[in-house]
Amino acid sequence: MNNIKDYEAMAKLDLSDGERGRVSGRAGELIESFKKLENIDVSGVEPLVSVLDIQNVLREDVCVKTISREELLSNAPEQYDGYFQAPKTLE
Amino acid sequence: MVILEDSIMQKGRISTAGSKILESFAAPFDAEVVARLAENNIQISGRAAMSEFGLGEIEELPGQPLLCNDVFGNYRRKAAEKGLCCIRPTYGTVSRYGLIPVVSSMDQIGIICKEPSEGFKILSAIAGNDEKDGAMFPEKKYVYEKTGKNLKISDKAVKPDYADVYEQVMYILCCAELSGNISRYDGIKFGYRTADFKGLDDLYVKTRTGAFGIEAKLAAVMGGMVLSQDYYVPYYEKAMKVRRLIKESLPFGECDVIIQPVGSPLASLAGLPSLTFNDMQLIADVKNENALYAAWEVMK
Repeated sequence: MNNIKDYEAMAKLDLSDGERGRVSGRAGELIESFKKLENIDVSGVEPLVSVLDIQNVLREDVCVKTISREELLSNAPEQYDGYFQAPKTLE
Repeated sequence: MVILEDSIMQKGRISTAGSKILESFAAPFDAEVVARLAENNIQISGRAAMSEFGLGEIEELPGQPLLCNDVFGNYRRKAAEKGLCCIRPTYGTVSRYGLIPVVSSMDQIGIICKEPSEGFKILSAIAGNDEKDGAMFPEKKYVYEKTGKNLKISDKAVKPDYADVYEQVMYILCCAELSGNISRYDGIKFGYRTADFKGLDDLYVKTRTGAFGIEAKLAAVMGGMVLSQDYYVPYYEKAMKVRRLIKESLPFGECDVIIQPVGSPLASLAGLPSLTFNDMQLIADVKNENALYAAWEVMK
């Protein structure tokens, strides 16, 4: 297993030492329990991505109005001139 | 009258899914089930608090029917403890448009109720294809009734194949999907944002670290792990393959209903309808809710 901090960074988290201890301990237990899967023969078995036996659902390529820009932006912590506002990414 | 779990959106109402990350999130539209309840003159009397994304135990159940997304079995366990029923319909029969997503391949709105007759009546109002949910069966309506002559119910003592690894498969798939679903919470588009940050990355990290509880953090870390290059094939892909074996190994054909423990994740894993009552969970084949209804009548 890679360092738990690598996975934290991927998940954009920075755990406290206490949290990291708990997550790391539980992750170790889970990985131990996943060993039970090793004995199952899955050769020739396709992964089950969806339990539904249906194919891609496509609709006609026509414009439909869902919600307005104002409604979409109404929950944004910060907005500017009709856009989501984020911190500068380039100095 | 029904109560909605706090993950089902009602326009203008705060919908948190039990998480600080959505503490101020006012839903911009109604969930499809909310619209269908209104069309059928079923009143919504309130919203029920929940653990973060339904990951934790349920503290209390309301006295009225509750619409909720029970992926992990926590509602089924609580319903059984309280002498109530829990109907989890077939995956893909009730629209999830406007349901805050948790584990997309298992998310399904169901009902906690006193008696199945009450639950199936509500279900008949909300179930049926909705083009806004891309993973649904085509039927527009379902009729729920106690049919099922010569109903065959499996022996309680017989464990289905692979039952020993249900929990492991469930854990791997749930962490993988949940970590993806909660990656949308970035402090930019909606929801909580930390007050103190320096630059974009710091905003993401402090927002997410400050708002998610320990179970969501564990799922995010484990999800990243099982989807990473080293573990994708031995864990995630293997779990998806075993999921197929689980679904294909069930004895429908020889019997109509199988009996599982209340906490069994089989219905979530295989997308099957389940009815929990009296310390047992009855599971039937896809779209065969009526066999569950009939079995309840025999076994109650």
